[in-house]
Amino acid sequence: MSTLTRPKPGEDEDDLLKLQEQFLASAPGGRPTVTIKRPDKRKTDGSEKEEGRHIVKMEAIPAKKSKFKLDTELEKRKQMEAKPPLLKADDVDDIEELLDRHDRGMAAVLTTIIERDTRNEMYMAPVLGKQGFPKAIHNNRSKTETTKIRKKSLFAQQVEAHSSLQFGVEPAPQRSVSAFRGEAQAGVVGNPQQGTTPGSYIVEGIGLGIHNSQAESLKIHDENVQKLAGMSETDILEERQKLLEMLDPKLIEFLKKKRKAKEESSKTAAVADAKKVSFSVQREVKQRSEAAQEDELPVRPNKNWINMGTVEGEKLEWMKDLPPPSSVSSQTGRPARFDFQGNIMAVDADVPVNLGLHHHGEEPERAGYTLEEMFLLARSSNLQQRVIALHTLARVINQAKSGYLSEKIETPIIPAILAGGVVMLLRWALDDTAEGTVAAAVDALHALLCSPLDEEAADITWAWFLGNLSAALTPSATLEKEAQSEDTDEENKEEETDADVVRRDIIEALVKRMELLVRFRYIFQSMRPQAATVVQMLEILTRAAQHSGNMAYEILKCPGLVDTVMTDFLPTAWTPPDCSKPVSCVYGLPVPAAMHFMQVLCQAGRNMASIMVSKHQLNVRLLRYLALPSRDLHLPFAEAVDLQRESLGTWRVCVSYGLAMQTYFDLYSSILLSLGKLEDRWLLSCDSSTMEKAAHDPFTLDVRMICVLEKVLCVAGYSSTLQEGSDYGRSEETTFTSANWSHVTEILYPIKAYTIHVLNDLSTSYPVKKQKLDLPTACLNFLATYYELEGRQSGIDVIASLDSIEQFCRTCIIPLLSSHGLSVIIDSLSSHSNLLAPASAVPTETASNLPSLCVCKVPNSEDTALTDPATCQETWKLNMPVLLPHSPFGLLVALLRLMLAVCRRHKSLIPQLIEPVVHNKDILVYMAKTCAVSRSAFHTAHFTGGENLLHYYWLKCCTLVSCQNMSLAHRVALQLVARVHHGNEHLVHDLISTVVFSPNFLSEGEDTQLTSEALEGLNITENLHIISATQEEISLSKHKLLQQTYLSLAKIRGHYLQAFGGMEEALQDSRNLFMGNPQEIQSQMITGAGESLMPRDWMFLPLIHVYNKAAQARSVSGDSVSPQGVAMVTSVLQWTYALETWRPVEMDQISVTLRLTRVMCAFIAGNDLFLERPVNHYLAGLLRVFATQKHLDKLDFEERVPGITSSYDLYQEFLEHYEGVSFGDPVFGLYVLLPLQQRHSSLLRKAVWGERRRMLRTLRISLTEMLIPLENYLQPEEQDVELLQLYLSAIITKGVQSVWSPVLYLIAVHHVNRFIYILHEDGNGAIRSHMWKQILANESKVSDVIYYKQANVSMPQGMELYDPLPQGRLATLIKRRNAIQV
Amino acid sequence: ITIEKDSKVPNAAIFTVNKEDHTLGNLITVQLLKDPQVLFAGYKVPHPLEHKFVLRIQTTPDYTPQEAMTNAITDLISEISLLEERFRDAVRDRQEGSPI
Repeated sequence: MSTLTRPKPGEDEDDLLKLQEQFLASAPGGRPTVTIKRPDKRKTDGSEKEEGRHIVKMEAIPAKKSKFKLDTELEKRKQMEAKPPLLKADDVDDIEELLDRHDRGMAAVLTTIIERDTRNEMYMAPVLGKQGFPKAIHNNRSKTETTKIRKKSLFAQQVEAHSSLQFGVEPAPQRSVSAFRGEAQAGVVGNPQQGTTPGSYIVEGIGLGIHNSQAESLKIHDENVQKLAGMSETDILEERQKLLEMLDPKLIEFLKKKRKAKEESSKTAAVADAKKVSFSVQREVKQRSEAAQEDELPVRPNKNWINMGTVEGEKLEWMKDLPPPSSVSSQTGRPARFDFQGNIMAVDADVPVNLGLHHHGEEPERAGYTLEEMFLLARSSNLQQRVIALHTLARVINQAKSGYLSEKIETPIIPAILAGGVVMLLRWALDDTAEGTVAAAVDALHALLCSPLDEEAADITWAWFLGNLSAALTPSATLEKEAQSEDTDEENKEEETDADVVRRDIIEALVKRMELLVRFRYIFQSMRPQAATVVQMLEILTRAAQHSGNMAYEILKCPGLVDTVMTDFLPTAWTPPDCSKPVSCVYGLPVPAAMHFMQVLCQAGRNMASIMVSKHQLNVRLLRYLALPSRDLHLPFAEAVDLQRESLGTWRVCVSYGLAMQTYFDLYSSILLSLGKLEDRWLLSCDSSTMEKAAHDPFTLDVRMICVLEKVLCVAGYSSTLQEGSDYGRSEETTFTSANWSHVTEILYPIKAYTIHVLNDLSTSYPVKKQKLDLPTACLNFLATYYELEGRQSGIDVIASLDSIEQFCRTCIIPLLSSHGLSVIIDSLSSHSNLLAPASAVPTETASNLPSLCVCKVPNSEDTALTDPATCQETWKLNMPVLLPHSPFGLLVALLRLMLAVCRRHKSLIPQLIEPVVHNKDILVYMAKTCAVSRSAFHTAHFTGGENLLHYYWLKCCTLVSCQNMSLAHRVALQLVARVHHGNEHLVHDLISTVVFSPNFLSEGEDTQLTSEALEGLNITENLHIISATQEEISLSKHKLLQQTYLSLAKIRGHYLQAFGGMEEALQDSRNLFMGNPQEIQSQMITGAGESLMPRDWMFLPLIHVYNKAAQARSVSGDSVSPQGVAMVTSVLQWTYALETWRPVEMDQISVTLRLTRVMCAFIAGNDLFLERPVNHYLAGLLRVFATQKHLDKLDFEERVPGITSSYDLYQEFLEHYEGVSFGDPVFGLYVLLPLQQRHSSLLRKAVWGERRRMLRTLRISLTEMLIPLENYLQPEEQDVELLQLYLSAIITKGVQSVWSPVLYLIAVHHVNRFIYILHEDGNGAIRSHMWKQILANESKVSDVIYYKQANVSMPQGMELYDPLPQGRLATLIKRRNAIQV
Repeated sequence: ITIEKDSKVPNAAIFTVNKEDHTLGNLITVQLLKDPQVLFAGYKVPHPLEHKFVLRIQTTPDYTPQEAMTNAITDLISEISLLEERFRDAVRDRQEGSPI
């Protein structure tokens, strides 16, 4: 080998080939080195590469065979398998070795490989598979095994078979150019990958020359071609599929892999002949000649250029134009691609390449990046790529969150990327040293965590009553875990990995595990990023604080973080920036986002707010920002307004706690001044039509100011109670600057005057002008609070104040109530109702570990489709109707509140004020609509709270003046109780004590109504008597039961209130929030958002409590339930019964199964509980309800019922109880029978017949006592053979007897009888004859089974028997008898 | 064993048997249920770790739970002694019939 010269630069291909020839000739034994198989390792060595190339081809060639070849070969192989050849036993991996062995002969033919002109040859290219590579390659092996005798490759044969003339291809001038003429045979995709054919020659084996092999292969080929021509494309695909199925999948996999590897290596091989390597994904025939290809190049290679002496087309491949993106390839489920703005790219969008969206990933012809690619790029070592990827990711997330993408993408993006580990990725990117990357990471993190729409929505509802409350966005999993960790020890906590925490709760993971806060502090202090990044970081912190009170405290605790924010972003003195250009560095300037962050921190808890005020001088800052009008703040105007807005928000929160009152005194004069101007400004703005178009609402600040003042009122109003209760000692009282009532009376007059003005304006011109309702809302709330509190003050001139109230109402409220303006507002209730919203509006982009307030945008259906994306965005609206512009809820709540407050003090106004509202047709219609909707999509959304409040206040009005339709009001109340959120415990308590159990609201319970109903009931046999185990007759008269319930409503209410006594603390908190008592409010953040306070089956809750208590106590002491327990259960059952009768619609919203299982608990709860007289009566009454056909049809024991593991387990427990303690009580027995109906699972029946045979003796319900139709047990006939055998054995062993349990006996006889007389063959013949054998062996005992005709309750045993058997049955009987005797 | 008369249900009694479990409870219950004058018989082990069971019996008016219980126990004893006797016989037969 050493004698050979190395190839030099400048040698052309001929020289190289010559060299190679020499080399091969001189190689000992003609065996080339092993390395030729791995040509890519020797890229610098020309000659070696040359060989490598050929090897590559050799391996590749068989892949070009058509699959039909494969077909025939497969057959052959099967034949050969009888006596496997030597190589057969080899493992698949041995193929390489095999090839090596065949490589020996390569030397002899290599020259011809190159020399031969392949331009005009025809190629059979493989059919493309799903993977883009053909499967047929596996033949490589079988062929070498089976046809060792072959001299020529298939390819060669093919070439011979088709003369070049057939294709009429002109030889290209360059010898290096291989003309590619893919054949146009149907369904065959030209794969223009490899040009040199003769390589296959070698593969076929050297020195195995047997003459007929050539002939044979030719024959095969001809056959193939013929077949191919005769087949349609679909046939071909079908065949291919068959082939794939036939072959060992492992083999296919291996071959595919191998093929791919080859493909890659072939690409890297420097081929002197320029050959086109292009593989297309489409099922299109792509043929291109090299010549044509060269034309495609944007620049014609010039020989004179350096290193361009030999044109290597493959290397110039990248210069070509991309194939056009084709929509032809309509593969389903293509990965979505996004442009840099986060918009999705259409599959066939043809965008110019200079936008930079094309890249060398998969599908190079499509523009845009997939999420996967962005993840990859975010970890790139190239700074720019990282930054771009992160920014793009941020925009995609933003788009997805707003809901713009929801229609274009199959699966939601946010959960997908969270699962993809985006949190870790972003946190990692935050640690980057480059500021650009950090900024981009902050951008992406901001997009992921924060939802600006939630903030926007909170802003909309700010002026509403209790608008200062926010929801704590804690994932429910974390709440559960906290509840658990109280019981379990701390060590369990440590076991959670970071990934687990991320999966459970992203914010907690970021703050507690990944040290986000420390990193942020570092970024703030040392990196000093740009303005946008600072704002985003502050917003991320805000979102983290919104997580929960604990998390907010973590942030406050983080050393230096809040200090930094305070000094850098909320300074009290600053140099005025240049207002003409956008601010790039916000250090040393007040930032609205920072103020918002403060607001959220204050909301999170009283202690935090007081720390902020006392330690960080928040009140000084508030004073500084609010003292001057926005124009004089030396900030850009929009910034200044924002800052003041946020400051007022923070102030309101602080004042709610009674903090920062000093600021009020400091600002007193300026407040009065601005209030005085308010009226003029309103007039001004109403006149000018430009108000709507103004960039911001000129009254935002006033609205917020009035909100603050309302809270100031609270502080002043409660200060007197504080002084009275002098023992009331608090440590923070020192910081608590108290205001008294005289401090606030002055601000009433301007606001009142102004309110009158605004409301009058509303009542006349609202339908035309559609003024914003924020301001009137805030004013009304202020007045409501004022009048509420005024009554509590001592030393007020009562008569004068009542006079002023009356006058106010006469001038303002009463005209408003009858005005057209208000009726328009009320009219819009339905269209703005969250409860009536369609289910389609629910956002899909949510993740359980990152809860949000579920606000997103939905396409505005009212607008016609717009094609322009820019204008398209404008027509999107918020998904919650409550939040849409001109939402009436805030205003109406405030109005009702004011009216109630007024009426509480001035009773004579009630008819004038309340009646119009209670009787208002539109409101009634709206209420009826909400009752009709079972469960809205936004049932638990935070912002539905506003609507709940409206319902509550309306109901309160109804308690004062009875409404025309009290049952409607009661239904509203029932719905509301099950719907209100956490933090509204006060509402529930108030509703339960005043509305739900109020006899006024249950007009059905009145005597006259009841008697009329009872009279009706007499016609239908209402009274049904059951003899209970106590030998008493239970009369099931509906009338009596309801009457009793009605009379004991007060007792029932007491029991319910007692049962919910566990919520006392929460109730107190909630009441304080409603009353606005500043000393008592601990937090303005409500935990448990997104869940209803009360479960839907709340009426059963006390029963469950009793049950649980009994279950725990049973092990300790006696069996019996305490008298209180009995009374409680009685109340619950009474109430449930009343609801089932009077409010069936509401009850039907809870599934029947759920209700039944809850009632069943009453049996299990105590050993003799069900024997108590009232309990037994009401259980019987409820049974009657459940036994109606409507409910029986809905009963489904497969259903998942919350609180129990499975219905089957409960039923087992139930049965055990029946066996143990029932005394055979029929009511209990009937409940046992409920799940035994034929339509339920046979598993339940087996539980009785198979496992609890003793019950068959004690379940002594007579046929006349059956409340459930007997047909339900007899039809359809039993199919379960096992159960049938159980029936029969029970009958034979006298386990079930007509004397003891007629019903069960009848059931067993019926089904066995029907089964044994089935004549047609159903596959159970053997079992049937076995049963006959058993029957005939005990014929005397089971004659009923043989002679049974049909069920008939009037007969003694409930069944009719054949006296003489009919002919057919007799024949069967005799036949069976004979069969046994034989 | 303690006996307690059930106040709510006529002709019924609750027997609490200490230091016994399902073995005896089931045996007696099944035996009681064979008695046609027994309307109801059922037992219950209040807690699996507590070694006792509670037996409830209800009979027809002309009969008392105590009698039913006594009868059931007597029957059981005789049945078991019969079983024992037969068993011994069988063993004896076996030993005599096929000496080793």
